[in-house]
Amino acid sequence: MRLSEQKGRESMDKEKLTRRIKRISRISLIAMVVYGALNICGMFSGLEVRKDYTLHVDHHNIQITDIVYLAAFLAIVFSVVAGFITAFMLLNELGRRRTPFTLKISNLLRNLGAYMIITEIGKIICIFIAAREIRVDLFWFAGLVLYAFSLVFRYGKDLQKLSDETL
Amino acid sequence: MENEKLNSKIKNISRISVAGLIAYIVIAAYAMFPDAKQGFIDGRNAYENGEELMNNPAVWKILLAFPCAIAMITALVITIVAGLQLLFGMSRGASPFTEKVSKAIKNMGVSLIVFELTRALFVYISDESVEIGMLWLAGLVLYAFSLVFRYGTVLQKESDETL
Repeated sequence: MRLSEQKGRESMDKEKLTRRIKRISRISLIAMVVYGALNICGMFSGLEVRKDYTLHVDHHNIQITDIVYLAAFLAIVFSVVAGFITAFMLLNELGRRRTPFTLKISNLLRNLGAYMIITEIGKIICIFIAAREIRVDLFWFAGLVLYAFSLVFRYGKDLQKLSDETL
Repeated sequence: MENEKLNSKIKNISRISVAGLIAYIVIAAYAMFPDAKQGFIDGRNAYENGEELMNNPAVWKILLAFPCAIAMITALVITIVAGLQLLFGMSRGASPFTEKVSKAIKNMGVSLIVFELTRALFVYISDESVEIGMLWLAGLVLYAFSLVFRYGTVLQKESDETL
């Protein structure tokens, strides 16, 4: 009797938590869209750039550093765009699924972590070539933590499977 | 077997992250030290020479800026401590789903939101401009993750009771 009561309470807990996860994911998703839209608007309003890290390339004399700079810059653009899309998909998935522990969510987290690390590496290369200084932010760390989280989600997927089989 | 492998991978990555974060904090503190020292010396010299540091700021600005700065520093310290707690928790336990890890993620999320809000207020007071970063969103997502970890804790408990 007591065991069944406990099981009932646990499943109630899970339902409550799932509802809250979904709600917060939806809020985050809306906030992300609003933030992205505001940033895009800000991009065209001619805001002041604080420090110039752009490389002025001489078209007649392209060097290997210019090619590396361009490749790093393209990698940043690609990973930022892909990162935003992945984050959007991740929050959407979290807001929709019955359980947060699915292979798709785990893969999305892993990809998001990888994009963050690529952005950081690309940024370091660009700044180093353009300004000869090394500036490291915490994006690599966030990427690594997200990768760890993706593994945790894979672990959780197995637990979820076990729980579903038991019930 | 699969879960054991995953667990050892999680632990390894968490350990690397802890080492990286500590190295990052130490290097950042070391790099900041000369500037902070110079700033202190400049400020002290300016004060002794009778120079005014600010152009008569309004009283409400001073009254608001001080608690804002304190809240910002506190939130930052809590974020770093909670981050380290999270990584240590994940690199040690038998399972990543524990109450401790879930609480550390929640604290990190909430303190990031507080940090961003107080930073925005501080920037508004000092520069009279509104500047909002993305940290509050990261905080919100972390809060969602803390709930996911709590969900995982329930599953882990169920699994332990079944086996």
